[in-house]
Amino acid sequence: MILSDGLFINGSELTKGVCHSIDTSEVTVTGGLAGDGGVFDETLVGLNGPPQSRQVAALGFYGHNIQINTGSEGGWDEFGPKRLITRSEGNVLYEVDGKPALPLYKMYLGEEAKGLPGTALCFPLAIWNEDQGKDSWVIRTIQSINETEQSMQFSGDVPQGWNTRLMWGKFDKIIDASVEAARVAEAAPDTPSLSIMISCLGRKILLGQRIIQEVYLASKILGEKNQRIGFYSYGEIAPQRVSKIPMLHNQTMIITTLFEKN
Amino acid sequence: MKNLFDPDLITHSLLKKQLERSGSFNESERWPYFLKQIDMAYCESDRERRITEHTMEVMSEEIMEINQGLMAQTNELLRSQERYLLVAKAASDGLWDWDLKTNRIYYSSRWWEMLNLVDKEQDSSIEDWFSRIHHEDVHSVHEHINHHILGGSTRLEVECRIKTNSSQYIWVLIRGLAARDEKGKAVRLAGSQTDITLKKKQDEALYKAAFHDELTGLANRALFMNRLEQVILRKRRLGEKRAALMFVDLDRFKYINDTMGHEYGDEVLKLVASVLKSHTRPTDTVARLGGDEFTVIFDPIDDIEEAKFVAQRIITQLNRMYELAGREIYVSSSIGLTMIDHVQKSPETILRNADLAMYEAKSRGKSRLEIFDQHQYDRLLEKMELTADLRQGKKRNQFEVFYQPIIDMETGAVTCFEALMRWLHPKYGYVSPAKFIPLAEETGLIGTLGQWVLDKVIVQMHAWCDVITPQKCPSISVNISVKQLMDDMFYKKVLQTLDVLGQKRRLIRLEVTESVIMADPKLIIERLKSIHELGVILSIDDFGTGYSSLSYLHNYPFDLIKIDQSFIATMLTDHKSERLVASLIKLSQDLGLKTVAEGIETEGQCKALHALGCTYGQGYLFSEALPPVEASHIVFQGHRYTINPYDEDISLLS
Repeated sequence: MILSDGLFINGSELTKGVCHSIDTSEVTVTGGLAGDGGVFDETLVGLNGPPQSRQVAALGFYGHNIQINTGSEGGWDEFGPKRLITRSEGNVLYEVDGKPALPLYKMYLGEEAKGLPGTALCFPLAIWNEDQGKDSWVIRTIQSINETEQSMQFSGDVPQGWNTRLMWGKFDKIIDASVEAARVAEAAPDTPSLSIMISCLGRKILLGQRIIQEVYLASKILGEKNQRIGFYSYGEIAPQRVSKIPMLHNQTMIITTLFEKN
Repeated sequence: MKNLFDPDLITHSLLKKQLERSGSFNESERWPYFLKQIDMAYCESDRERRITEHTMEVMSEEIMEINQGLMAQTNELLRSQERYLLVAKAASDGLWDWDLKTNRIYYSSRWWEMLNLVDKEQDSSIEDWFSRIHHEDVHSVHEHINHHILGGSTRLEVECRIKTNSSQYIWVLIRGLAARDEKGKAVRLAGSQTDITLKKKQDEALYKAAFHDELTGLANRALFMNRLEQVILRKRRLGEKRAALMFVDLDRFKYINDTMGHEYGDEVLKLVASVLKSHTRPTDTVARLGGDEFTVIFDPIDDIEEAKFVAQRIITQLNRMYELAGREIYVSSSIGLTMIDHVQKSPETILRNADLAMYEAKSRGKSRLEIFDQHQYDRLLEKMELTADLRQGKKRNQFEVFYQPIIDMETGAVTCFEALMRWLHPKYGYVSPAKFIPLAEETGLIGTLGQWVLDKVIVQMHAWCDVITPQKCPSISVNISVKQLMDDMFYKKVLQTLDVLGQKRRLIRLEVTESVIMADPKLIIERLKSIHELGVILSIDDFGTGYSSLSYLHNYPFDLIKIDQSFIATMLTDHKSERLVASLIKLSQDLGLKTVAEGIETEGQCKALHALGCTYGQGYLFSEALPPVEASHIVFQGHRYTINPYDEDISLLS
């Protein structure tokens, strides 16, 4: 489990780095980037001491009987035409289909565009490499916008040449995603377990008071013998659904359940 | 009210949670809190709805826009397709479009038509095409296509033969261009197929015209030289068996043309061509270089013996009586033969060698075969070099005139000098006139050389006359050949030169040499008489040798006879020679002519000649040919040679 500073680190690179030194077919990698409730001031991580900014901690769980289940779901739906990222650098997106990305984005936000970048949470992007197939998609959320360059900065890389589609979330479906994640991460019946729930802060901002449903409904699935801890994050780390390669996600609920086999 | 806040009665999870949370408040706060929660939930729900509606609206607008774009594209595509179909129909070229991913290919109706096939009107296989390409061309077509697909060429362009439905082959030009994906990989190849059969035929006819002799259909000189070069290169590079070149020249062909007409001559040439063609192998090359000159390259040939055998067989077949256009004609040819081997020689050299051998065959009596001989060639080369040097020598003043005294046998006085040309060759030193005069005659240079000597002699004569009186001045004799006299230009020049001399003309003698049969004796007599009438003394040189005959003494205006030195040399040892000399002197005296004995070397000869009454003498006994300065010295001093018929000594008096 990787717990990292949420502001001063590129989550994608962090995940790649961790995977580079770990055999990911043997070890499940999950975790998240710490958040600070949308203030974007400082994010704290601590291990065996007081929590601090600019820290990354890694926890390893091992044992003959330990079992770790991970579920990750966003509940977002893609919509609109498929577009090609025609110009980007790292996590900055300039053009899609040869046109500036920002005006297109604003058009979809409508009056909500006034609240950028906060309101960008409504429309994250699904991005994927066509060579690896559509199922390899991940979600990217806007962190900031640049009106002069007409560009947008994302929470992770947006590689040039990849495909993208806009995503939107109906509240119900976003809430349902936590139920889905809980179903995958569920421990064996009647087994004591611990679930670490890491949910994107964006979900909380978007859902408003309905955010309480997210944890509430997931808890129902995880059962009475389950204990839950968690936080709202600035980025979630979990294996990609299809390739099983650990990746940085956005706007996602990740549930990691630890329990012992009988 | 309590029952109302029982969450178990509620199914909606949010309302349930709101009720649960409201339940923890006291009754007075519970309602306001609960209502606030409900209000927020509605607001949030409205916001979600607004967002949803807006999103739906924008998306539908964008989709409409995209749709319109697509419709415009579709329309443009339809128009373009119509245009394409119209063009394809109108074009004389067949069109094809090959999907490299599925390996399916589309052919236009014109494509099928071109091959006399019925349009399948559906996707066809690439095999419909490749199976029809001529087996000799199919490899090249594959190679060109692969090369283009792999990006080795900017466009596909290849010519090949392709079989029509009637099993005939037509020539086509295939042109094409690959469409590539973003990685540059070819995914599609499309292009045209043009019928170029007519053009090919025209090209072939042009090629034939450019490289073949129109009359006989044999290879012409250009093609022959090209083939010869190829053969030489092959022998040299691959060390193949040798080859041989035969040069055939018809004997008396000009005569045939002149007497029987050019048309008949052409028939003879065609006949020769067909004989040569029918007695050679397909690997041999038969060519007509022009006129009545033919060449044959025998390739391969083991050695000179085989070449001789093959050439001899052709001569036997060629040189015989033919019945041609109702007439009997005997064809005869002279043939030169040379080998082509790995020794480095140019095509021109080999052709020249065969040509030289052919000339040798001609000069050895025609209708025969001669093999090129390197030594013979070397001699010829030497002669050619000397000829070239001769021209240079004239330009570079390598010639001089020497003067050999001619003595009065009675008085010992020098009455005349014979002007003799000397050539100081930069490499060989003094070259004998016996060697270069015939060359000069052969090359026509004798005209200018003769004129030059005459001019030189006249200048010398004037120089002497300036010092001593013309009466005392000895004359100078200049050699001219009959061949020179026959030359109109030379003759006119001599007449002109002598004419301006006035009285001094008598100081010039012309010694006429006769080494060939006179082609036109009448003209020579006429010209000699004209010169003689100017007062110029004429002598006949080397009398008794060559073609000179007694009739000359009667018919020609000679004043002097020069008795050839060969008779003088043997007159003391050979009685017959002595008698001949005596008779010549007697005969001359009877005819009123004077005699000059050439090549007197001994006192005995001198005495004997004196006794026989010879007028003048010349030879080493008196003096060799002298440079102008020494000759002038003798002239100015008035030197006399002692002729003492009774005394043993003959010495120069000072």
